[in-house]
Formats: sequence, C-alpha cells, structure tokens
Amino acid sequence: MNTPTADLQSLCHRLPPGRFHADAAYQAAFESDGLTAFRQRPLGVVIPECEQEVIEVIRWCYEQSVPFVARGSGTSLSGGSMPVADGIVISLNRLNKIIHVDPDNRIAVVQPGVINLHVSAAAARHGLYYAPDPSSQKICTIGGNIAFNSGGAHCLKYGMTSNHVIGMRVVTATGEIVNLGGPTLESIGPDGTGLFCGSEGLFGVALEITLRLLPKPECFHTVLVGYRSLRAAGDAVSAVIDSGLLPGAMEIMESLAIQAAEAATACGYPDGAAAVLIVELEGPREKIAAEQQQLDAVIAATDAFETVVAADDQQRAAIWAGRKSAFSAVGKLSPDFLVQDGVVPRKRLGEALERIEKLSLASGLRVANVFHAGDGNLHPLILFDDSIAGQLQQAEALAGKILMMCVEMGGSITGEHGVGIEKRDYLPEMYDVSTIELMHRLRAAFDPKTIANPGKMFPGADAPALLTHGLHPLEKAGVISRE
Amino acid sequence: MVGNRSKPTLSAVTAETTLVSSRSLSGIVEYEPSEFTFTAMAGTTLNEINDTLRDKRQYMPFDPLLADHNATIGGTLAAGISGPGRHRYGGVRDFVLGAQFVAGDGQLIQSGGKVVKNAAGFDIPKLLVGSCGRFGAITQLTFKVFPRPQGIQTYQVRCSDHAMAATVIAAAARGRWELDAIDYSAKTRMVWLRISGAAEISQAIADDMQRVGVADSLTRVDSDQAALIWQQLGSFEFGPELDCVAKVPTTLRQMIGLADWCDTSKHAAVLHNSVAGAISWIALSQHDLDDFDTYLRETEVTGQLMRGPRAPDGRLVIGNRGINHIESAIKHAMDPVGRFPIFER
Ligand SMILES: Cc1cc2nc3c(=O)[nH]c(=O)nc-3n(C[C@H](O)[C@H](O)[C@H](O)COP(=O)(O)OP(=O)(O)OC[C@H]3O[C@@H](n4cnc5c(N)ncnc54)[C@H](O)[C@@H]3O)c2cc1C
Repeated sequence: MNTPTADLQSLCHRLPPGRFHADAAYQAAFESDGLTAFRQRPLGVVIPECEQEVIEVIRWCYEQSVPFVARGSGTSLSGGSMPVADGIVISLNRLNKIIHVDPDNRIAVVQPGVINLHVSAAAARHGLYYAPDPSSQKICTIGGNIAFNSGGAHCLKYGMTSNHVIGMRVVTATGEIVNLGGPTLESIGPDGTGLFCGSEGLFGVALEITLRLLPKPECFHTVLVGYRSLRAAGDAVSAVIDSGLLPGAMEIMESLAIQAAEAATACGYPDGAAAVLIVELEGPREKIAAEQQQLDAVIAATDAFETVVAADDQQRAAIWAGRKSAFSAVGKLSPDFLVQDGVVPRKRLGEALERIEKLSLASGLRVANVFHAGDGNLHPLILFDDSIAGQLQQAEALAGKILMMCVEMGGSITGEHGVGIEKRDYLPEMYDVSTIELMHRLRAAFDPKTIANPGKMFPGADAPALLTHGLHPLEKAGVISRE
Repeated sequence: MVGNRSKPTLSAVTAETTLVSSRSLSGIVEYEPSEFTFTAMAGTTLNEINDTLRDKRQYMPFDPLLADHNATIGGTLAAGISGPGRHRYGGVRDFVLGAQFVAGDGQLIQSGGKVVKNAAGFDIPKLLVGSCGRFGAITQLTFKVFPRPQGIQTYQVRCSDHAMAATVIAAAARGRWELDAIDYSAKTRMVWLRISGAAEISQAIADDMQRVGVADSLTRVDSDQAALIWQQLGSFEFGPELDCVAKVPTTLRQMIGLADWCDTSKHAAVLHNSVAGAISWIALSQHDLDDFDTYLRETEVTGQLMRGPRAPDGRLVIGNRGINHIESAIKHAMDPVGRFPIFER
C-alpha cells in the first residue's frame, strides 16, 4: 500500500499540531515491542491527547484505507504491537486518566493508556484493588491488557483481564463509536465486552474502560517448598488441588531458573532443589488461619526436602523476588532467549516437562522452566546464541515443537501472551477451518477493510524479518520483570 | 434452539419459527476434578451437573438459577444469568471456557478451549453469553469449576429503608471478609449475607462486621430458613403471585430507585437484588409492564424479561434499548444466512 505524502498532510490537518510524527527517530522508537525479534518501521506515529483525536485518526485511516496499530506501552511478547508497513501507530500513553473510582459499586473507569498498577494505586484508599497482575504491571497499559486478555500469577482463582472488564466504549476500525457492556457487572444481550477482550487490536481501539475492583486480600500465607524432582513438585500441586484448597497462586521453577534467580537476587531458595514450588493462600485472617493448617499438612505429606513459610511481609517479598526475577535472571545466562506461553492440562504437567527436557536435549539448546503450575501455563525459556549460525532457527523449531505438544495434550498455544505475529502460524493447530472463518467474519464486523493491526493472529500475511531475541530494553534496565 | 424452557420469554418466537430442543443432547462428556473443568452437552440439566460436582466436593461458583425447573447448562449460558454466588468469583461468563455450536450456515464451530487458561483466538464462548439462542445452536460447553466451600452460613441485617440497605451492601462488599453472596429483599427490607467456611469462622467474620459497624446487628439465619430464602430466588418464587420476572442490571443507586418504584407499583411488584446491588430481579404483574418499561426508559436502564409475556412492543429487552450497529454486524457474522431469530432490542 503506497500512501502519497498529500494524504499524510490531510491527516495532519485533522489533528492539532505536534500530534503526528514521521521522522526517523519516531519511526525507530516504535519499530518493535517486547518481542524484539520483529521490527517494522511505520509510516508515522500519532500521539493523541484525547479520545476525539484517536477517533479522527481512525476515521482518516478508514477513508484512506491505511492500516493502523494501537499501542500501549509496547510490552507485548508476541509482536502484537509491532507496526505494520505503510501503517500508522497510534500511541495511547497520553490517554492516561483514571476518570473515576466508585467504591460503592467497586468499579473504576479509566482511559486505555492508564498503567495497570496505577488502577490499584487509585483504588487502594478504598481498600480495593484491580486483580489482574501481569509481571509487566508497572508499565503495561489497560488497553494492551484488554487486547491480550493478559494474565499473571493469580489466574486460577481470579481469572484473566476479561473477567475484570465490565464495559467499554470503543471506536471500531470504521470509525464508529460503540458501547459494550456498561457500569454494572452484567448487561443485557450478548457479551460484546467479553468478545473485545483478547481481540489483539484487530477490532479497533478501546477508548474508555470500566473495570471491576475487588477488596484487597487481608492476609497471605506464602510457602516455598524444595523438591528433588520436578515430578514431586508436580505431584504436590495435585495434592493441594485435591485437598479442596483454592490458592491465590501456585508457581514452579526448576533448577536452571532457581540457580539464575539465586545468583540475581540471593532469594534463599533451597540448595540443590530440582524444583521449587511457591503456594500462596490469601483471604481474611479467620479463613487463612484455618486454611494454612490444612495446607501445611498437605505439603508435609509430599516428598519435600525443605519447606520455608514466610514469617512476615519481608520474607514473602523475598520469595516472590526470586520468582519475579527468574526471567531476566535466566536471560542473563545466555545472549538470546525465546519465551513460550503454552498451556497443558494440569495433570499432564510432569509429562510435559519431561518431554520438553527431551526436546531440549535433542536440539542441544538449554531450556529453563518457570510456570504458573495452578493453571498449567508453561513459560519455557529457550536459551541460544544468535551469533552462532543456525541457532535462532533451531530455537524457533524447538519452540514450535513445544507448542505442538501443548495442542496435542489438549491445551493451548498461549495462556496469556497472545498469538500476535509470533504464533499466528499455529492458530490453525487449535481451531479448524470453519472456526477460523467465523473469526474472520467477526473481525470483518468491526473492521471490514482489515486495517486494524493486520498481519497478526491469523496465518497468511508476509512475515517480517527476524532480528534479535532477548530481554526487553526495560528489563535490561531493571524496570520490569516477567513471569 | 431451546432447552427445558425455564425462561420462557426468551424462547417465545413467532409461529413460523421451528423450535429445536436440546433435550436429548444431554450428559456430561468429560469431568476432570483435578483440572477443575467439565464438559457437558448443552441439554444437560443443572441438577445433573450439580450432583456430579458435589460428589467430588466441587461446584459452579456462579450459582446457576432455576435448577428446580430443570434449567439446562446451555440455556443458562445463552440467557446469561447467574445466581447470588456470582458475587464472590464471577458469573457464567467468567467460568465458560469453551463452546461447541452449530452456526447459522450449518458449520460446527469449536470455540475456546478445554483448559482453564487460553488466550488463543477470539473469545467466542463469551459472546454466546446472553445471546439468547440468536447466534447459533449450542451443542456442548466446557466450564471451569472450583472446590466447594466446607460450609455456608447466612446472616441477615434488617434495614429501615432501601438507602440504608445500599449502605450496608456497599460496606459489606468493600470489606476484607470476602463474602460469598450479598442479596437484598426490598419487600422485607432484609439484607442477606452468605459467608462460606466452617460455622465458627463465619460467626467470627459476622461478629467482626458487626464490631466495625457494617450493621448494628447481624443475625444468623437457621439453615432451613436460609435454604428457603435462596431457593425462592433460585426458582424465581420471590414474588409468588406475580406472573413476570425481569432481570435488570443495576448500580446501587438504580437499585434504590427500582425498589421505590416497586413500592408504589399498582400490583405490588417485588424486588430481590442480588450480587451486592448489581442484579435486580423484579417480579411483577403483566399489568404493570407498561409502567415498568416507562420507568426504565426514563432512568436509562435496560432489563430483560425471563418469564411472562414479551415487552409491550414484543421485543426482548425492556426499558432503554441501547441499540448499536455492531450488534447486527456481529449477528450477521455469526449467522450469515439468518437462520436464527434476531435479538430484538
Ligand atoms: C517483562 C515482561 C513481563 C510480562 N509479563 C506478563 C505476564 O505476567 N502476563 C501477561 O499476560 N503478559 C505479560 N507480558 C506481556 C505484556 O506486558 C502484556 O501483553 C501487556 O498486556 C501489554 O500491554 P502494553 O500496554 O505494553 O500493550 P502493547 O504491547 O502496546 O500492545 C499490545 C496489544 O494491544 C493492542 N492495544 C493496545 N492498546 C489498545 C487499545 N486501547 N485498544 C485496542 N487495542 C490496543 C495493540 O495493538 C497490541 O496488539 C510481559 C511483558 C514483558 C516485557
């Protein structure tokens, strides 16, 4: 698609001065996201200051048939917010107002560029918080969270982003304004809010979002357990589940990740553990007092060789610091890495990890496993060195095999990072032709010209060039970490 | 497509429409207690699912309604209705993981997944929630489930008026106690609080709520009476003489308004508010429907009749219509040949 300069001028005319940028510095600043492997320079970048300006840009894009990509903080790990060639990037960071917090109805109304953690900060004085907590929450935006239906460590109990979004005003890719859901937990008619969550920017732009807030958990009981084998840790997860407890979080890290985290944060994880399990209960003190005894008994009956119970907030923070640093710490063990996000049924976790180990041995690349054990969401980190010819392709092939294994086991290719560019070729492994056709039709209902984030989620479009892999620049700087 | 027609208004269609029943599409296809998931055919009754889950000490936390009327799991999802337990962990929309259905063009669609976490592709199962059979014929559904609480106790707070009830509800919902359900019977001016856990834990929580002033007095309701209270809502019998039941999503302020409207309605409409203000269930006489519709329009609130005749103009919703173009575009995508009735707003 070739857009003459005159057209860009017509865009500039529709916006106040200083909103549109087409110089090389801007193009370069927005050329990739958290999946640094993929890069693409956009035609230009618009940084709107208000909702109406976003609408103007999209109407212009629709009239001119110019593709656009909405962008929050650009932390997508699947290439979701990477620009499209000859397209416009709409950067939403300045739409960052928390419009209001209503403690009685426990909702917050926010603009899309609001940072995830800022919602909880604004709700805190009412004893409330916003539950979805991706590890990038210090920096990622609610708009990005919605587009990817982002998760975090607490999904089993609390669900994903979509379980906490009750309404939104969106501008579709035709420039039309649509209200989905509303200010109440439920609405009448089909759940359009639920459909928009996880649509990866392919429907349009969320302009104003109504979030559901929860009372802040009062107490935590956090336990760190060391095991001599991954299987024993996996069995412990099943034992906790079978006991009837519903922990807020259950995470496993295996030896390579433990060593890396220990080196990075001196988190005091059990020496010589093949795997550590973190289990955290949360709730009112009366309930936690009873549940912690139950949990301690369940853990005592497993094959654990060391159990640490966090005695205070500081110890709890140390346990989580090890876990939260795991990715960036492992990242430092190797010049480059790829992270996958597949899901397997919980009871097959042990088998999945053994198969990943075999695949890793066969490919000659190391894999470190850190994962949300409660919901079977794996995060294998594949370590490689891009300066060695062929290693990147080997790493990608290994990642592909892991995804195929997840599908074969009845799971999913992505638990929370989205399909984006990275996994689009694997979508047909999960859904048959008629289901994908229906998805295309749904997309066309919002975006008949296929201008909203084209080339993502669905296979078919040309793949952009692969360049490098590794830590997000903000991770290198220590601003964020990933789970 | 209809189940056992426990929400008859939603399946009342014109004479030339053929009804297809899911009655024989019944049975639990897969149940994995260790995965917290089950898959059932659309016509499986809630009773069958509840019984199966209970054996493994699990439950559907969204607390589906109308089990006593043989409601099916497919109808529950299509109607998009959840019971009082929705307060704690979320509604039917928050627990559906996957949906198999036949689209209007006859294609069998497998949407969503069978694991508790899945972010691949559009979340079509959620779109079916509340779609009232207008998008496709649901054949099979996969849900997430949770461990069943060890016990459940109900406490009540007597309120002097609706405004006081709203204050009690807001304070109870915002606190640290993680209540299981917060409902309000406007007719009796009674707030009901459901607290899960062993009896002494529930009592300690209730005592603390009283201590910090959520209400002057929280009284424990004995288990038979509590069962009756929840069953009355669960089977839509909280206003037994009235022939219509409507669902109206509300804020607390809208709830107060609706409660006042009921108090002055000609045929003594009854409001049972559920989920800490969020869902107002109204039982009313069909002779009050016109007034009710007008009141909802004036206050810009939308509702839906579950039982009784259609809205005065034959539509599915009452009150504020809130029509938007995208809904018909979505309908066309789901049902390109127009095989299913339209969702008349
Ligand atoms: C270190 C690190 C840790 C991470 N940890 C987690 C984790 O624990 N869990 C998890 O789920 N993810 C995690 N992620 C992934 C990422 O942070 C999330 O996907 C996040 O939601 C992206 O938000 P963003 O604001 O950066 O969005 P962007 O990357 O800018 O955009 C993401 C997608 O959203 C679309 N979009 C943005 N705004 C809007 C809008 N207003 N309307 C419509 N579409 C929009 C974009 O087009 C794009 O497709 C992590 C990433 C990093 C780098």
